[in-house]
Amino acid sequence: MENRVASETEQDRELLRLLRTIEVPEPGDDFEARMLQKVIFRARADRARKIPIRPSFPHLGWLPLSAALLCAVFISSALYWAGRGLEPATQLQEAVALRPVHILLQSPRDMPGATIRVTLPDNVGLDGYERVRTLQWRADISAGENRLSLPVRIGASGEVGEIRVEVEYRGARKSLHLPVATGAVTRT
Amino acid sequence: MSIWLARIFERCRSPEERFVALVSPHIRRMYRMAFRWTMNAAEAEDLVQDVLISLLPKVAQIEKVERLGPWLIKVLYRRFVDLYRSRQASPIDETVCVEGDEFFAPTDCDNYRRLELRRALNRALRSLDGPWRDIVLLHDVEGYSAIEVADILEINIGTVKSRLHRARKKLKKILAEETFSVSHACQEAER
Repeated sequence: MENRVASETEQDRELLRLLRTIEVPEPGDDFEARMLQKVIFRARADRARKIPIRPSFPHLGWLPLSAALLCAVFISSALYWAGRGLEPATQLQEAVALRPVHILLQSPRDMPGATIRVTLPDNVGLDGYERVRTLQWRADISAGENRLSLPVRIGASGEVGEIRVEVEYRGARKSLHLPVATGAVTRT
Repeated sequence: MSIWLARIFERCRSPEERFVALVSPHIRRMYRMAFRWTMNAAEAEDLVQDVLISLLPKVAQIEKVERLGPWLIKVLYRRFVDLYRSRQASPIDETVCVEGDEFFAPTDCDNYRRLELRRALNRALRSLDGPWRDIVLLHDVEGYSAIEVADILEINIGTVKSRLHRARKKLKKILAEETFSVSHACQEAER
């Protein structure tokens, strides 16, 4: 009896020792700073304006969008050419010009009332709403392909940022990060 | 007197500065726990960020929390359950990959048996029911006390202890089976 208890205790110790060896990938030395910077930036942006729902963005309202599974993203050919073979003066002019960004979303099934959230980086602004960094609205997502077109202005400074698209449905969330850099070809 | 002065100076700091000072020491542990739950680095970061954004306007409330570490994990857990565990009933979840073995790549000191044992452990953990796994991860892996686990998961301490006992028993059983087959395979290979 005593031997059995001792053996179980030893097995428990061994299990505990093993469990403590389960690793988590290190997020980097600057993780805390990076995280807090993002959090404060987002909070300030949210404070600066309340995110309007569909009616406040009439030119986005028609979009029959969004989806559960984000399967493919591409930037328009105009953006593709932004960084190729242009003279510096033209490049500057082009860099602040309107660039439609198309995001192709594919859903396996209908998702009524899904929430779509698009967060723009500093170097990208929505045409007519340059100060808005986050757009959020609800849409009925239909099964199959859905295209989201955003009329954006890309900054001229060559900064690198990323457009983040999130779809939430019944408490579940899926997000996609699309790198955006002026003067560089961006394809995903 | 010094406490009184410290409070005055504390109030002079902006809410954001106070927030940063309060949560900074706990962010890495929040990430670790978020990773253990989501099994995905990007989603773990998103989860932590999401929780911190929701807490930023509540600095005064956070300042009153006695044991901030476990309290933050509790908030994190609630958010995880809201956002991620409900995926089980969602069509979005169909694409989620929950495999985690890539984080157990062998190092110089790892031999085949140890690596296989860790993989087996990972598989065994995934085979546990969610509530059991949560307790093992919090108590045995991250080292929270049974009382803290009970508080984080909002269940009574008796439930924590009984579930922990049953979860360990199941883990040992699975590991015993798996390690036997690994040892057997090693012996065959050595012949």
